[in-house]
Amino acid sequence: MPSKDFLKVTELVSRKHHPRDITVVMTGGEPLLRNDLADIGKKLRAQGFRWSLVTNGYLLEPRRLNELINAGLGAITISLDGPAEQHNWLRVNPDSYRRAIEAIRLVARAGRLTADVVTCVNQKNIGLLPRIQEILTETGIRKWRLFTITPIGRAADIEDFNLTGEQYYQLLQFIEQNRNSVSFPEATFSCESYIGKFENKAREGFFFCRAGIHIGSILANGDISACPNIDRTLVQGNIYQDDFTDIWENKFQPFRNRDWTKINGCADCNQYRYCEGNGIHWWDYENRRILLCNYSKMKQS
Amino acid sequence: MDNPNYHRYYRRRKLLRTVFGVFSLSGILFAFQACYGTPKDFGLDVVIKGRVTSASTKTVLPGIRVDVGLNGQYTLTGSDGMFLMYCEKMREYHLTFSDPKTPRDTRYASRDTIIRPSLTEDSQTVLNLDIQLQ
Ligand code: SF4
Repeated sequence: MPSKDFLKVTELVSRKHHPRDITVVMTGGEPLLRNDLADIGKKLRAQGFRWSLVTNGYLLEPRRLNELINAGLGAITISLDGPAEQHNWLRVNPDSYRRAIEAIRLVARAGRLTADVVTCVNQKNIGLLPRIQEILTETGIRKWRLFTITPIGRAADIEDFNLTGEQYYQLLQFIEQNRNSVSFPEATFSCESYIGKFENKAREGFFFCRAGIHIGSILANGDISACPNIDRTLVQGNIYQDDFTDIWENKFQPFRNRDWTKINGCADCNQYRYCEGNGIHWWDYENRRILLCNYSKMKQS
Repeated sequence: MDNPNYHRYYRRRKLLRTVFGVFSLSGILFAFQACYGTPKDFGLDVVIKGRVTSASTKTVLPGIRVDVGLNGQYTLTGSDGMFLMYCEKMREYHLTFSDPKTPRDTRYASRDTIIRPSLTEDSQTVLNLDIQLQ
């Protein structure tokens, strides 16, 4: 997408909402592949927004980070999926780990940035969480977010990705223990799903799927949706035909009224009032089918 | 559950807090299906900008390096002699202007400046400088 198309939309948003209260998150794919990222960031700041970045860190060397901070970057997330062997396996690149670690060290030292690391927990790395924690402690990073893979697309078929109920429980226990200790990095579970008794223990606060309530997104082809990771049938418009703010104000009902999730197992679930059908990205919206109830999965163990 | 209305409280506040821009869809094997967000940026910053000119000829000076004394943060002036950088909010900045590219004998002398901005909480502070190098 040409940057001018995106910036035209943010300009419109800045006229109808307080840009000061909004953060624009650049994600992908890999946003650092774009050479105009700093330029876009500067323009967003000039419009009044804050901006942040999700990256695998591969292209984040000191000069690039300097350029991004100069352009008003305020927060950054870097992915690390294990010690060298596991990270490189997942990224299919023998140099990924080294570069990610260098990037994490860099951002940990950058006083201006709020930074964290995200780890996608899977069968290959679930047993290595203490080791990953040691590695991260050594980098100086202070925040660590852990999440799991949604079983859709290729991820659904690869056994190594999906955790068993027991492993899911083990993951949440690990995070809770970490949070009860005083060491860094402080771990937290992602916003991905309702986690019953681990709510407010494995993460700060209670589960709340912000998709379409606090979060709107513009995908690479201009599609307008809530979180970038939800079912494409929940796309509500496209910036090349629609006014983003109009879509935000008038077409986001499926995200704001979740009654449609009260079907099948969720219909008479006694946790519904806390969970409201889990994170929206767990739904196959077209077929009105939940892909996974993480709470039930965890309870199995 | 201590507070079942916690998320409903937030739900009522239908605020746009985040706009995601998905710019590129290549680079990793899978687009992982969660956690696209970043932590909240609580940091405050200041815009330091300005123009660097030659004291003798009054012409603008491109390629002048502006060091701000924070973790090695620096920028270079553009073809119009202008520079702009967002910097962590501090009580004072030790700025150094230097001319790294010109051959040593015709190089402009480096100049150090200390600036102490008056920082207000709610608005973006902009420091606009006019720097002349000898
Ligand atoms: S059955 Fe539905 S409402 Fe109940 S915990 Fe699972 S996802 Fe949430």
